[in-house]
Amino acid sequence: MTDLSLTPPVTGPSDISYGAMQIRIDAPQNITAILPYPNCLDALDTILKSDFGLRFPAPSEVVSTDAVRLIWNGLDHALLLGASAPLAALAPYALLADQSGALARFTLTGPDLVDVLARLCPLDMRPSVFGPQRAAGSLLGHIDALFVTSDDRDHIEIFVMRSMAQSALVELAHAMQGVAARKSAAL
Amino acid sequence: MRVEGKGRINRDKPLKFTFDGKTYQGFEGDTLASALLANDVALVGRSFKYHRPRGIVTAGSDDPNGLVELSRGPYGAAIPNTRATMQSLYEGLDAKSQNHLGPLGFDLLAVNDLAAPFLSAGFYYKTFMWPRRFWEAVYEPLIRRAAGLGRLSREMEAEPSEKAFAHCDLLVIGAGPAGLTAALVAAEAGADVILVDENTELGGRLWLEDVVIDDRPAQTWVTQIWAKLSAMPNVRIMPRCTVTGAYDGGTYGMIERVGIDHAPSDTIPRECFWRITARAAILATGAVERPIAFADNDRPAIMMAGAMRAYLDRHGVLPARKIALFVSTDQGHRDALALQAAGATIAAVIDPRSDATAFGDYPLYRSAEVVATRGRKRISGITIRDASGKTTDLDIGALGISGGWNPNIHLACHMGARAIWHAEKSCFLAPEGAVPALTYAGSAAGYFSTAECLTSGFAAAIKALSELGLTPPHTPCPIAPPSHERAKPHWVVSGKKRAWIDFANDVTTKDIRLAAQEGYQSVEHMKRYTTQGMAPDQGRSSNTTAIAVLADATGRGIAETGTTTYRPPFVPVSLGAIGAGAQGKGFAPERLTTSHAASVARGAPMVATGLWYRASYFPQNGETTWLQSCNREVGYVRNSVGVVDVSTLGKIAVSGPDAARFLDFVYSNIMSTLPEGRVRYGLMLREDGFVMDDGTCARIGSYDYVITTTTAAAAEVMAHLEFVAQVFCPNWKLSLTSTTEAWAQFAVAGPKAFDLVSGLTTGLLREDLPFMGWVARDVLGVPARIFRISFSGEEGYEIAVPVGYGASLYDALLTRAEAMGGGPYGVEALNVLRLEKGFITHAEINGRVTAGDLGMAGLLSKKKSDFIGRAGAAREGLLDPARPALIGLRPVDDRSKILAGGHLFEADAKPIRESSKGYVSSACFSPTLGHPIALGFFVEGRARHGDQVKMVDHLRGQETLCEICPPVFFDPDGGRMRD
Repeated sequence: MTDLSLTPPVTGPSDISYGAMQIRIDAPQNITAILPYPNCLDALDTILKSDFGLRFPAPSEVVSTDAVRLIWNGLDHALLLGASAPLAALAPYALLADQSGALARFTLTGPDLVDVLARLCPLDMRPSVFGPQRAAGSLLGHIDALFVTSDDRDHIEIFVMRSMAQSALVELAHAMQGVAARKSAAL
Repeated sequence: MRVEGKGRINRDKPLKFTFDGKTYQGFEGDTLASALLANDVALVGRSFKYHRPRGIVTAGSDDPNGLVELSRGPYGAAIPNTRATMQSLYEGLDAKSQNHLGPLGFDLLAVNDLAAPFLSAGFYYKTFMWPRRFWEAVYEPLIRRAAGLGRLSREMEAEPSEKAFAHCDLLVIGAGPAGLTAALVAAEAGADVILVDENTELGGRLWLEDVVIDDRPAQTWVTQIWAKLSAMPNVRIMPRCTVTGAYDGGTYGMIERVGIDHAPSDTIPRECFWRITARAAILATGAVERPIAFADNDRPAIMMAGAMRAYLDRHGVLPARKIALFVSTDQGHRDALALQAAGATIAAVIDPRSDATAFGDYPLYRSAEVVATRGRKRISGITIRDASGKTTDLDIGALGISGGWNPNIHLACHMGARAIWHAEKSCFLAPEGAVPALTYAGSAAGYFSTAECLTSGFAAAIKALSELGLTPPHTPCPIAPPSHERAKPHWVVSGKKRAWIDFANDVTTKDIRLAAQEGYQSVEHMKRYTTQGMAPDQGRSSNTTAIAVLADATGRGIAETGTTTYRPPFVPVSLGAIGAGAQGKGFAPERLTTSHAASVARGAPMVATGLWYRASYFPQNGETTWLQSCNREVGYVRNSVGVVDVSTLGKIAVSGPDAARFLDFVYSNIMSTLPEGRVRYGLMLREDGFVMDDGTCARIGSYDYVITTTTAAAAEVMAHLEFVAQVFCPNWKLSLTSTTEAWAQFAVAGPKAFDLVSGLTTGLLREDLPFMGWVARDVLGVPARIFRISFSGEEGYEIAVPVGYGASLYDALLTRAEAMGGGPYGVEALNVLRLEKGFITHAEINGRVTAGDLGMAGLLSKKKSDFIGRAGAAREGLLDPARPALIGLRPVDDRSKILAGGHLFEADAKPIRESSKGYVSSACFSPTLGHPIALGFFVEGRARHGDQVKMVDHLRGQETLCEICPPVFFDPDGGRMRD
């Protein structure tokens, strides 16, 4: 029984819409950073496979089962999302850090997704370059962010540091507002 | 005047607009320039230097004169130097003319024109040299008053702008015949194409040509290709966009006109500044017409012949009923025919070429020149002189001129290439390969006929496709009948009167000849001496003519004379667009702690520490100054208990079998001997031996450590550790990652701190947690880490919980602290507490101090074979005993101030730079001791305790006699925090 309560990274409504675009502030979930020690990837992969049915993701890759996802997050660094199974078996081979509250997760949805992100992020979002189930670290305005695509082209997840979540939301809302205003004026 | 049945304007949509307060009417599809011409407004502004009446000269972004101030009320500030030729007309558009004192028609500063003999090139270098004291008092204010174009609004900008990124395989710059062909071929091959054009429509000059492409009128061809491209998913068509610069890595800057072409709005961005990354690009930017320099060639209604044609075919506008043309191109004759067909009377076509022939029924003056013009606020007549010297006077309402064409090659030269003179084509062309993966096509490549433009656009696309690794499609090259464009450059008409070259900066042929005569013979020197090409239009219409005149004056050829350097931006770009989104809070992201809302709710002013915001102090009723609040908060910690959010300190998890070895390598002291459950203070050096950062290291498990950094250096330390791990220790078995965001951490300090902390968890005894120890405990039911560390000198605990519980824990801590007679403290009190104890921050670790300077030489382990900075720290200069060392300071008179930043001098020394022996790094008033205290550095300071020195702050005018003392002012043996 805890006497403390959890506070979400961003206060206020959990959905914001402008035009055809919607941003949803996702509920926190278990996130563990896994950083394999040098030369330990094979051993780590064996355990990941037996415990989760996954392997450590290659650069920019997202691997998933129904229960968990492993998202590449930089050099020798992946985020394990959704795992509730004990991770102790991985500990001899990798640094494990609980980042559940550390990252705020937004989902941006809608047909103008590429236009909105073009206002904030220098990534090449063309499907031929950044296809489904891919991850890339980049900028959201001035803010470091991890972008994760799904099979739905009108849908992207954005992870930012919790402390900057409010600023990220302001940036996203501003870009959505500009795109919506352009669309409504046919510009 | 408007011509019935001509132009591509929407006559069903009339638009009202005002210019200089007078209301006019135009149509949808007009630019401000075309609408003014349609209303017979020829005079639109005054020239830069001589304040001569000026009108519209071109129909494109290169116009040197048609600059106006555009009102953007109620949302935006007025925009000076708006190009009337690019500004689309919208209902209610409100523009004013610029650069005049009094009404536009009677500019008092036109007196400058009478003083022209004294205002030649470089006049200010010659004129304002004496008397010397007049410069600041008289000349400079006068020149500032008269100089510059337009006025900057002092209003806050409320209209938004945008920045955006785009990516493509092929960027086609310009959508004339060459660009359209290239885009179509590349798109049909499957390339992702972005096709941009600075006009509102695709097609470029094809709207103005009586030419057949693929057996269709050019206009039909454009419409069909446009429709085809629009339907292709891999093509993005971007009108109203001007590419402004070519940069490394296939990156291009581009400005898009968005809301600026419509009535102001608080949501639609005025402009968008694009950064486009393209694997390949095609430069199909066309060419601009060259003016001819002849006497008084700057009167309103003297325009480029091609511009007259553009206003006619695009907007159905003639500049006057009776028109003459002074041209040396076949195109100029065709323009005359078109103007005539629209109802204009062609009073004369004056062609300096001896073999010129009339294309139709108009008076042709062969081998002739215009030698004089008349009219003040618009041209009213010209004088023509033929080869025999015979002169003829004609009354006209407008004069079209054309001395040839200058290809728009600027973007190709943005990475340092110099343009090359092509004698046969009489124009400057860009050298091949000047920008990687940029191919030139159409007039920009020196192909001036429609047929050549189409084939060169096709060839450029094939070349680009090969670079992209794509197979060319079976699309045939569009075909136009061949034509031979005859043109002969005609630069200058000789004569005594002033002949303008640079209309924007008021530079005449005389100025350029004078520059050459005075020794400024290099084109770069001439440019700076005369200011030719340095106006907002960047000399786009004037550069080549100026070079030709300079070549003539110096007896060199044009090729030898060469061009000046072409630099971005190709057209003016507003800073509002470049800095879009960076206004107000958009300037930098805010990092907020979990205690932010509670701190703000208590009225705490928040202070930026890097990107973080921390509570400065917590004012209470009755307190009128920050110092009162700060002193009270210091009292909490010294006498009861205080709580402060320390989550902003960097936290880095370091794990692995080699983690301890790694920490020994990056810290100057030993960490590998640290037992589990213990914390140790550590110092990190830079490779050069100076101190980089300090912090704590806690051993969490056999392979697991958590280290802390200062708030200021968190990112620097993280980058340093990443570098060391990857580069120096690539095979060591360890990993590290930042966990700063994962934890909310609060310091609880004071004599009652243990009482507070032990009440949050069950069964915690003081001996469970000795000084510099840590335990994992549930705190109010949440798994937490409790560290016994202190930055205040009091018994102190730092409680770390998963960040989501931070806000809730902060509330709980404050409730308990306040019940004990304590409460929250901010960074002001935190700073006072640490200064009383002589603890250092980055005010002391300023990048220039060594461990020895700080009195921490003992932290440089002698037992370890190596650590980062060891060799650097052993350098002679860093071991010099005469280096300034950390000292404490207190004023001799307790009522005096010590100011951080002040310099320290011997008490009897003159306070000048040469005798400075140290400085004050941090200072405060100590409520505990009742007098000001400070930390600083003084030469051989540790041997000077008890001596008096002088603090002088020259900036704030403060001089204080101080006593040097040990840097620990309070509880020097540390008993309060340890026991």
